[in-house]
Amino acid sequence: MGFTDFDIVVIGGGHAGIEACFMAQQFGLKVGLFSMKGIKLGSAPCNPAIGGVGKAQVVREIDALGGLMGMLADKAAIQYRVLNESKGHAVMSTRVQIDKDKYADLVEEKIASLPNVQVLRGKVTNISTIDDHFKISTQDLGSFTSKKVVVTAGTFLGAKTHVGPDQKVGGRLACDSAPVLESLLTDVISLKKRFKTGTPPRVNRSSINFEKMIEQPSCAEARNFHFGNETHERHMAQVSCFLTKTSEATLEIIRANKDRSPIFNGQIDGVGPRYCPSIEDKAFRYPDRNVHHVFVEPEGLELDTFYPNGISTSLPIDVQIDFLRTIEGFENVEVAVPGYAVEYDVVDTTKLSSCLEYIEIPGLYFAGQINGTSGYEEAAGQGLVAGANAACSLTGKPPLILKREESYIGVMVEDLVSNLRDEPYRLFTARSENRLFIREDNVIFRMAPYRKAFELQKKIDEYIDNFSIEHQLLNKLCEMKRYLPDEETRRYFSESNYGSIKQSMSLSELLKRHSKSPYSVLAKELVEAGVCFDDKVVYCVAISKVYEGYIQRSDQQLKKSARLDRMKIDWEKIVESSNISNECRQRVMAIKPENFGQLRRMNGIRPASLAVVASGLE
Amino acid sequence: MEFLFDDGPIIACSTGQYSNAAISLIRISGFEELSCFNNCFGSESFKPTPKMAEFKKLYNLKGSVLDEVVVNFFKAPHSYTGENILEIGVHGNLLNVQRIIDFFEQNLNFRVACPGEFTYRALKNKKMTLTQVEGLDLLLNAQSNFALDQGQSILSGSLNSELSSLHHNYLKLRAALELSIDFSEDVGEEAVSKEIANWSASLNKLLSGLKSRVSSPIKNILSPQIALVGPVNAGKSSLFNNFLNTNRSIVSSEKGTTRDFISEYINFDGTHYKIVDTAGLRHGESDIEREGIKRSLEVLKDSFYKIFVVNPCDYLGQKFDQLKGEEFDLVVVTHSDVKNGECPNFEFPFKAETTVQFSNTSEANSEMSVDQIMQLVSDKFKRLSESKPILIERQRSLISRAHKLSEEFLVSAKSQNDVAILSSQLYVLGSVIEELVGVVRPDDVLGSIFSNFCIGK
Repeated sequence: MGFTDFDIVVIGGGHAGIEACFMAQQFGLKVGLFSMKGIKLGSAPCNPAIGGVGKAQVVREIDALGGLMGMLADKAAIQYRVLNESKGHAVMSTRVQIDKDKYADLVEEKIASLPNVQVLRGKVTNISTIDDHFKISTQDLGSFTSKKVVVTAGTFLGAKTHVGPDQKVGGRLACDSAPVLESLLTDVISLKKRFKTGTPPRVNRSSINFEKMIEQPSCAEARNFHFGNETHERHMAQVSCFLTKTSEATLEIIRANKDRSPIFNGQIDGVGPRYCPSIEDKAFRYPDRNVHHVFVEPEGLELDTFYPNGISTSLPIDVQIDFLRTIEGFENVEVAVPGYAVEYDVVDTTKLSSCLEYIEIPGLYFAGQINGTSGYEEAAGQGLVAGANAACSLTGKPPLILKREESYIGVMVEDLVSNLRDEPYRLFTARSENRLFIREDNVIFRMAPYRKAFELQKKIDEYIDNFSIEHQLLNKLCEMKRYLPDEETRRYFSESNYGSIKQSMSLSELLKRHSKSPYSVLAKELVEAGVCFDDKVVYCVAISKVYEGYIQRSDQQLKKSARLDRMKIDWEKIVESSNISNECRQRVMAIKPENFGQLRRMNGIRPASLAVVASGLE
Repeated sequence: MEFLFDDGPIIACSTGQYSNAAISLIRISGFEELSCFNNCFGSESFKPTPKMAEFKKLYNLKGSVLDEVVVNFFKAPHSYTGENILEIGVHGNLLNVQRIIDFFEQNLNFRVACPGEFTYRALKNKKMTLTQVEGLDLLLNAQSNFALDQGQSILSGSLNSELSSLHHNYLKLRAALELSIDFSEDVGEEAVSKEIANWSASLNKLLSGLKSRVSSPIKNILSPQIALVGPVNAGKSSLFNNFLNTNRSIVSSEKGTTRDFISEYINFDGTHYKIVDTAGLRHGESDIEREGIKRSLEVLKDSFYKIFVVNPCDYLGQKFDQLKGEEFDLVVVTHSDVKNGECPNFEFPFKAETTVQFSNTSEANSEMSVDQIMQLVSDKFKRLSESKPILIERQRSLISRAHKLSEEFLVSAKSQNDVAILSSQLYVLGSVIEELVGVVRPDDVLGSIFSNFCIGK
């Protein structure tokens, strides 16, 4: 095999790239996947974990749309955890630690098994448009043509790594870098500032004193991501993570070395993620806090390295060792790989459409960290959107545009294309206005119409059909099954801890009453009734019942504010206004909000300004 | 609100328009160049110094003098509306004022301003905030010194800053709640719960403070009313006349729509009080009498100072069941000059703060003069206004709603484990607070605010 003409070319074999590629090939298109030599596809250069608050919902959305991430994560998972377990189902989220070598091996294996995909190991030097297709030039593989191009270059564009004063060209430590955006794509506009991200040092297993740390074993109740896996099935041996904390001495060492920190001495001018700060950031931003959590996470079953989560740093290696050894359990720790920061070019995502297509160059898509996001899950979600849209556009199918009210991927894409980024974007649940609805349990229900619109006949499509039938049936059953308050039912209620029953009650109402464990109630009732439903359907229906009333109430409020948010505004008039603060003016000029919602979501806009604009006075 | 999108020059008389006066002030706002007034004020080109009053003659197009006037030019943005303004002080004859306005309207194509339009433009050009506009409304329509003061203080922006701090507090609470959902692993559960508890308590405290300022009925402050209630022949009307005689400053007279009661305005210590003499209570069974009593009770309900008047010579142990549960501020026992011997033992079904013996005809036989009674009234009014009540209806109802939601939130925060549900509750509270700081649509609120303004303001 060996094509020189592709339908779709994906540049970058990270989490965005592999999803784009995997989606596109499902449509029967010829796909070329370019990846740097010496780097495995789907590798995990930072945290060896997938999922988390908000992010787990994305992994499940990817899975329900026919993507890769959920399936791979389940297979490579060595520790499961349920975050926010006590805070309600809407914000409960699954996270798994993955064996990162196993994960990358699985990706290589999976991609290699796809007949329509060709993996090309080499560096792309330029992408140009010729008539209605693209020409992709490489360093030593010659050149190729493609109808569509998805760029998922991650942190590699014009990238530079920093370990203390030690600066090297490269998207990761000891890796090559891709060209700067301007030379890769002459006509694409980059964000005027560069972004920065970082990672902590990796430490050797044998040098850690786990006795001093709190063990966090794998959670057996956590539910798998992939629709095709049994709910609690495990594919790998399960191991523990460990929790420890920084000491006063840790922060003192960091504060004493401020002038040697690339992010504080002017060496790095890229903007870092506020929601995933380095330990230097924490030391200087919270001068009163000296105790910060450190989660010590295994990078694999066979691997000797651990990932100390919470202390990403770009300080010189000697300072890293000094402060690490002040952390409880790290007294004799040895560093396998130093922590480092990386600076890279970012695309101006306001120039992208909701399909993640560059508006001025149709056929060119961007996804992942190149769009200024952080996190594997965010990258994968965008990769799926870009890959699916490139494919839909070639096969004449309607584009995949996920609604903000229905998915976290939708929230992310809308945030990206409607707001100018001034720091790396991380997804979390507060970004959604409809958090009560966008949950893990109902993901198949939420994604079904989008997936079905592709009109493909894969395993997921079959599963969705069955799920939908059972879902409808079980919903009906919950409305119809009634408990009458006769003597027997009363006794049954008190024996089952259902509380007292005074009047006839439907199964739905019973579930609402048991908001803490509606799933176990419904599962038990179905066993009593002798009917069998798919466990995922039971889980989804039970939890949906709890939220029904609340969702209705917040819907009313959402509608009211949506009315205001849709109001068109004239940003030029706002800029002209003589009474607006300079900072506000700069931001409005940069972002050019078209409606009130965009203005409201901008940072640094004061309520007084909003009030005047809302009143239609600008 | 048809003027929302028309920002051409407008003209109106900003002083009273219903009677002749020595001087009236005509205001023109929103013209682009002073040259539009060329030839109007004598010399060919008109170039007044900003903020300097100048005496001029105003000519019509034929060159004859319309009036002798004083003009004052305010250059944009340094004016009330933020636009160019020309103020013309003219002789205050209604015909004269109208003729001058007609002249500008017909020859310079100025449009006669709609009610509140000058202020609307001030709001539009950020010369005032929405709250300040509401304060101005209050100021212009104030019936008491207190309302005047509050209007002034709102104009200066003090309520606005209180509301801003409420909004700030809400954002802090919102952030703490979101932190608990998205970042509790990083920050630690304990720290987060403490944050939530602190901010929700302080938000509720702020709202309780505001709530206490909206709980007394607004009518009491805007137009304080004194009611005289009692049986027939108790001496209510004589007392009523006594009030009016002592206080010569009768402002206006207002006839009741029926003959059941009459009312007058009196001014005491800077506040206009409406004093109402109600129909006498009788033990009537006829429809007319029942209706009269019903109306008396309605007057009583709207009054902030309630006086029960009774004649000891005419007291036969009536029960006054209709007044059961009422609270009177004062019981006036009349005819203290003619009464001989013991005062009968009154049995009232209502509470009363103070009782005084009083003679309508002889001050010497009275425990208190009418002025002293008025002093009691005035003291009570001052007590009411000391709690700094908020008088603007829109804010009052929003504050009440926000307070209710905040109380509910506190209860849920203790019992509800589902943080996402808690957060959706807070979201509803937040939208009320946003409305309070003025994040609202024009059709929701502007119309109702500006409808209270008279033309020229």
